[in-house]
Amino acid sequence: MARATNNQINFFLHYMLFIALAMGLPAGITAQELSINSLQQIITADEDSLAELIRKSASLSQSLDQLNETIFRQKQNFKGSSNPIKRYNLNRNLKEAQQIAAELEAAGVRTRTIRHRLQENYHRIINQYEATLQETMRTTEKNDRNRSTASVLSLLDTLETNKKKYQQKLANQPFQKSEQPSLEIEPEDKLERLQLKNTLLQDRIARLRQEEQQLKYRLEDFQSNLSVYEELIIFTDNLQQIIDPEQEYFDQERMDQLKEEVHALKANISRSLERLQQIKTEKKSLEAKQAMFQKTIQNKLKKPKDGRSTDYE
Amino acid sequence: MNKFQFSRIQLGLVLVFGSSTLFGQSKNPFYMNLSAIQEYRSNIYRVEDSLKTADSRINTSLRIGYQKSATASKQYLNIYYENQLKQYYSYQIYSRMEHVLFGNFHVSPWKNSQINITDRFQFRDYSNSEPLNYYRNILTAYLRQTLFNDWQVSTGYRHWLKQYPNSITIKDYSSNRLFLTATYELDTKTRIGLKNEFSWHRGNLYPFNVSNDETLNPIGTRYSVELFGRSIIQKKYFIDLRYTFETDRPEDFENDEEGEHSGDEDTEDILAEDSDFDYTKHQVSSSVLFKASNRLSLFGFGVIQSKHFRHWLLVEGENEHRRDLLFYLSLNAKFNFLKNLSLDFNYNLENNQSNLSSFQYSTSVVGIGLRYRF
Repeated sequence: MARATNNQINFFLHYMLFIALAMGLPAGITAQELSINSLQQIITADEDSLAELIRKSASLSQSLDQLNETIFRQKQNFKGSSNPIKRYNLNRNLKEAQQIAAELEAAGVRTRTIRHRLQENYHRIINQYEATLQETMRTTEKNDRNRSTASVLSLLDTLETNKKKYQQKLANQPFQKSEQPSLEIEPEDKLERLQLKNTLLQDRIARLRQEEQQLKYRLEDFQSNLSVYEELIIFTDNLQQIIDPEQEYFDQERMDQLKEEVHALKANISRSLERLQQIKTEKKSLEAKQAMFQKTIQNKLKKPKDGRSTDYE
Repeated sequence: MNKFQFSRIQLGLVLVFGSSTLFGQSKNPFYMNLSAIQEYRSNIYRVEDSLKTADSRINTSLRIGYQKSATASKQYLNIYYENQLKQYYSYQIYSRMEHVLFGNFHVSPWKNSQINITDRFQFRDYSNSEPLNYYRNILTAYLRQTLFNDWQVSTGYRHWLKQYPNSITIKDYSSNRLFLTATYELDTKTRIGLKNEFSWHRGNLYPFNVSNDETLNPIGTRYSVELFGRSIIQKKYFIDLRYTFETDRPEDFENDEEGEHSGDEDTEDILAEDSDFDYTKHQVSSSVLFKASNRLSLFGFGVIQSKHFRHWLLVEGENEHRRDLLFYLSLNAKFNFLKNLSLDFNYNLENNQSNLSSFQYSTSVVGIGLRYRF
């Protein structure tokens, strides 16, 4: 009897679901599901692009590090040398480093844009799932308040699972937190953990120092080129007053190119100075933090000898 | 100094002080350049040594401009008006005033590209010799595309127009030019490139070198190719080196009175004695900059040009044609007193060796003066 009743209920609910989907009970639900499908497609495409960008950025970053090391070595070897081949190689590497840095910056901008869009779309799809869940429950209750079936439950379960999946993705997005885990002294940190955090801090400071050094090289290159081009523009401009354009020794394109280079150099200098300032601030803060870590580690190391407790600051 | 010129100088001074008050503030898009250079010229007519005449002149110029750039949209605008006064001491008939209007605009319509439009209009005004007055307009528009990070390719059009509004006999000059330039960046400091230009030109750019029938308007085509390279060396030196080959072919005549064209076998013969037509030219030019210190910079510019006129016979009936070898050198020094004020020295030498003695000349210019930019 009970089995017959269950079969009847199953049949009824399947029927209800069919009617609901076919008759547009849920015109709204269908619309939302379509919208969910579109959002899923957009999200999948963005996730793929993001993964590709992250891969590309990592590869660019690695190339830049290697190139920076090469430039550093060349700079050391170049001191006092006037070998044109060495100079060419150094300038060529500086140019490549500038290009990679620009590509890395562009990839960073694109990454942030996609992450921002993903964040919005995660919120949007979670809301869509929530609305669909509510609508499904409301419609089912309205049509038959006392009945429930495995299918409906399964549908609700799927919706709930999907919603949680996107909630999890949203929670995992690094834009919600700091790009890198924060390194703070926690009261429960043991000596080993403190030392590990301290090593991470040292590594971060070393990377910042390296970036600062490379940025200074590039900045120096930009500034020296700028001062020469600016001077050249003044002289060429003066000469154009002396030499009639009809002599056609100079053309306008030549002057335009010089001015564009000055313009691009000024933009690069401004960006580099901005980044240098950021590095300086970040480095100062990390160095202060590292000093605190070292003090705490020393205190921890002393503790077994004098028996005093460690004060966390 | 006549009354007309004096009033212009006054107007210039009013402009200077008025504008300096208005635009002299830093960090605004308006700018102003002012200069006063005293020159001595050894041969003001560019004629043979036996005929040459020396004179001194003072050159003053005032430029008022507006420059604005938007980094985000990659747009740039620069416009200015410049007034130049070139005043001779003895030969005042050649004293003149130049009015220059300049505008340059560029924009990036899509990634790695740029459209650049420039117009330069110049009116030369001889108050004492009006038939020599002319205006000239040079319009340039090109598209530049960056390829594979290292290559830049520009495709453009340039139009020249020169007219003598107060002369009945001097014909207008116009030319339409198409050019293609490819530049390769070897590194952060070095560029090499190649430029090709093809043009159609009508009339004479230098109308005083013509001995043709005044009713005829000559039409020609010209092709030039230029190889160039430039580099910054050891942060202080800059060098630019160019080689240009140019060839001109006369194509046709347009008869002003009858409106007819005649591009027959006589074309080359009629144009044989015209400096603007029917030649081949080889030219090497170079600029060198040395930034000795933050205050002192030295700049040199030189040209060696060889021109062979294919049908310009030295003596009728003989087979020797006119050949010119031009040498031009400009040496400049700039010493910055203050951030915007500099003392400029200038020496120019122009020497033309020609197997046709009437085209031989040598002239030199020595100048000293002050320039102020703010």
